[in-house]
Amino acid sequence: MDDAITKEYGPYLTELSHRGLLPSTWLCSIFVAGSLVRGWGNDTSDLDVYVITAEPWAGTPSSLASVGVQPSVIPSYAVWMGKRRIDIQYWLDDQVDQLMKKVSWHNFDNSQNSTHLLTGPELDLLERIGYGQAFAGEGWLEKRRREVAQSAVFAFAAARNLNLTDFFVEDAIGQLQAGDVYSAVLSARSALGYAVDALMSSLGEIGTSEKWRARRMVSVKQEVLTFDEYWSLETMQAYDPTHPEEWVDAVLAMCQRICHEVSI
Amino acid sequence: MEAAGGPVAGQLVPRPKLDARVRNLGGTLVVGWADRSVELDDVTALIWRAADGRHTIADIGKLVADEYDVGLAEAISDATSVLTQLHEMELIEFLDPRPAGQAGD
Repeated sequence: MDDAITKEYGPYLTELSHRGLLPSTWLCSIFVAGSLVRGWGNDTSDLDVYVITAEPWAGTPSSLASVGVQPSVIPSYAVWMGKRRIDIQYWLDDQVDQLMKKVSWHNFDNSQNSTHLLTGPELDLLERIGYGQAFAGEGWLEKRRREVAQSAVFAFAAARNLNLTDFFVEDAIGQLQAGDVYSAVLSARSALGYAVDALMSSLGEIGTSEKWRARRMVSVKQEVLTFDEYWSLETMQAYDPTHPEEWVDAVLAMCQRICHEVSI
Repeated sequence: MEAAGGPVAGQLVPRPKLDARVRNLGGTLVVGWADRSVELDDVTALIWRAADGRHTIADIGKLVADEYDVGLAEAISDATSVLTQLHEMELIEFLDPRPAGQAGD
């Protein structure tokens, strides 16, 4: 365990334990993740805590997150400590097993449509296993990290984002043809976002949050799209209100160029 | 705009139609449109990638000539044939030729 992480987040975990929010039995792992742990956070960022157990957590959740494994809900609990919000999710080890089977290469090779295979909480967990910091069960986290690295999750995420890119490109073209230029601009923006996410996913960054897209672009080394090119499009620097269709055209062409290079 | 043989055709600027869906399956490009798809061989993929809306057919022919060590005229002819076929499949469109004197990069 990283000493700096222990010093930074240990008091929160101790307090959660005092409040009876951390089980002492059937425990596989407790790890922290999210923007704070990645070094992207700030004073207002949440701390995400994952508790993995062999038996269901006996507490009363404050919310339930839907997942595509059984049981199909993840009990969650949100608590404030000072100015910091702590989000805790309680996963069963067996649910993680099912999730790993879902993102196997066998499943990827035989899947007809990967767009809706993974739910948001599932993608978040798989992403966070990659950089999470364990407070307990470091061996469990290391084992899962290796499994994720060898799985098809990056290909699944890339394929999903490519499909969504196609969807919005098609929309933008149809809207332009119908003279609905404003909608075409918004669709082109969405297409660009998914195309960049597809590129990032294929290179190991499967995060889905738009607000961290620029951070992901910086963290991944690639030669398909420079940060300056990306940022110019993301912030619509070449957008001319008198000829919005030109910007849409340029963005869709860039989306296509990115799709060429996303290997799945 | 139709692609045709001869020096004028060499100045046409091709690019993939924006609704052509592209997948890179482990290095092999597969292009989909409507409910159809086609796998591009290496030469076609090289031409497809180079058809970026900035390079003329002549530029693309030179790229093919350099890559495959064939004569320039033959390469331009081959590139024209491939692009014409892709155009007939409605996967490629030809943009207005760039103004005279504007060089490819």
